[in-house]
Amino acid sequence: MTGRLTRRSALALLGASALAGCSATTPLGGENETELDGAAIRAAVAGASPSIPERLPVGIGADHLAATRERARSLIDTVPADLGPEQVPNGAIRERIGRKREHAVDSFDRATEGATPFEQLEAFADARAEARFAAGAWRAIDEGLTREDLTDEADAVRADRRAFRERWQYVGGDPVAAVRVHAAIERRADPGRTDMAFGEPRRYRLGNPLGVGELAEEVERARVAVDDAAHCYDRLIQSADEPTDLRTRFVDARTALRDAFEAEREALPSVDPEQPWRVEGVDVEDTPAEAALEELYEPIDPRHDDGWAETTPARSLLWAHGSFVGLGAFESLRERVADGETFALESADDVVALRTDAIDAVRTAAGESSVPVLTRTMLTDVAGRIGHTDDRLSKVDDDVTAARIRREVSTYLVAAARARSTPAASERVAGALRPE
Amino acid sequence: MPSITRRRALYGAVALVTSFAGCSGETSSGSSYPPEDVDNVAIDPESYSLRNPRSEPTVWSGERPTPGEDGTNHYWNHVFVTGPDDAANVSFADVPGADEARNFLDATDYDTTTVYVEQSAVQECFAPELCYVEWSETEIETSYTRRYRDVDVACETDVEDVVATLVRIPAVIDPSDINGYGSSHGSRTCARRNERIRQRRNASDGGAHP
Repeated sequence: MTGRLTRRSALALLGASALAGCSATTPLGGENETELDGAAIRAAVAGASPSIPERLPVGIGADHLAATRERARSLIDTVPADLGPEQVPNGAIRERIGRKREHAVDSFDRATEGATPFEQLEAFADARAEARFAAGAWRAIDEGLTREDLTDEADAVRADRRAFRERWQYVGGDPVAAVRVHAAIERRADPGRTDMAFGEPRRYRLGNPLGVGELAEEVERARVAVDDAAHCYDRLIQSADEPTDLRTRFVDARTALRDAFEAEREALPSVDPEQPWRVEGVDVEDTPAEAALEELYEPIDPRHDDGWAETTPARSLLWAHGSFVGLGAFESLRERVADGETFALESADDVVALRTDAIDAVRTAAGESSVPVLTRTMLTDVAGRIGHTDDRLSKVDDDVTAARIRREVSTYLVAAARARSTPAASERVAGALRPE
Repeated sequence: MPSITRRRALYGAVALVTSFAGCSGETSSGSSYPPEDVDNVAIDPESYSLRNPRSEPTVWSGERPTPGEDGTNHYWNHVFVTGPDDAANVSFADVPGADEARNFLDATDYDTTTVYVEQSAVQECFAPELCYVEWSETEIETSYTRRYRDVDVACETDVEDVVATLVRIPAVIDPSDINGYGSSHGSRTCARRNERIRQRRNASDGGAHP
């Protein structure tokens, strides 16, 4: 697939400029020049939408959170907020350091406002990495810090990561809660995700202080990842009455879910992978339904299927969950389209109705699921996409056309379909993890 | 032979060079990257850069160019130096490094080499670094990366300089045949940009000697 300008990427490129008064003509098909009431759309998307904060089924220790917060704060404070030409004559280097510091402050503020301890933990991790770039580059200028000076610290991080991986086992109490926590640990304990590249700087030449900042950021990211992984693991063990080894159960569940998923995918009515929106007898061209079906098909397209990973059994179970969510959403939306519904946009009210439906679907799923750990994890993402779409639609022109925003609006359709299919998918995965 | 289309694209590219200079990310104009034909490519060729803080011609041959009637500057005019007589005709703006640029011309062996001079606007805090030059009988194309200048160079991001790059092309070129110019600018290091050319060159060598 690489190297080919896919339809999706072409649309994404168009989308980047399409909302702000550029030409409405797209080279990818017909046009719907129906004008909508942009002011009404802007007013509607300003209304409240649900936020489903990310959370882990184990608590984050107050001491751990305070320590990472303190580390972030002290790294930010290492760098003067008002660096000027006297301290850093090169304006491009000065601005780069300043921007990284600003990003760190933004992440720190986001962390402080985080709705759950886990969201705070993640935002402090970002703040630390960004601040460390600025701090490393500034120390290179101010004190002559070099990339080699970071070697010992990187070695210590690697040693701690090795030690953690040696003691880490797939144990837990409730297997569903354990999947969620081990998936968070897998992401943080994977050496490939937090590589520290000594040798030639990735983006900067030797001697450029930004090259020191770049490596310092990588070291900090790796440090915070291993510390947070170890903390989540310890909390998981403490939270279980009798921690048992669940690895075999994870792997067996994944195998069973994969077989079931493939059987159900094969039972789908014939779908052309190049045109997954095509439904016999219904013209969906240029409608939100076309874009939604295309997006929903992607995760269940066998050509993109890479969800089976021996090395990360917990994350592969979350992947399996997402596969069932996608399959259910695709099937249900396709059925509605087969019944003749295309969700064509005739007025701003149509946009508002699809948005309201998506929000209702998220709220309902969040309230009624019997497996909240998995359902919430999925709904965090779904709700985030609704919020992102609201942001994009808050910028539409007064006389925006239906064609111009059909891709944004299709996101509401996708969100509603995914939210509705999530509780059942959660039960499928939980059922495989808790047989009998 | 290059196609007409490509040649036109290269013509079009000349005026774009200045607007690309100093951008981050990968931009290229007018032709494939890296070049498909690796025969006439010099990786990391000998070159000399002359920086002028004023927006004005920096290197020229014969009469000093004057701004066009519409006020446009012509500091990006290309200059070829094919021998000592050409070299004597070349003038430099009064900027630091002009003497060294003159020495660079004088020390060139024109029996085997042609000097090609390219000028463009560059953000003050960055320096263009020539990765390779590619040529045919009718076209010249250069590829640059940009690097940050030293941290103690006083500069601002909203200021541009003119940078003239004098390139020794290891071939005797007849400038009157050259009708297409191109230039690409990226932010990856030259080592990485050139690696792909080396790989292609090795691959074609392998084909010749199985």
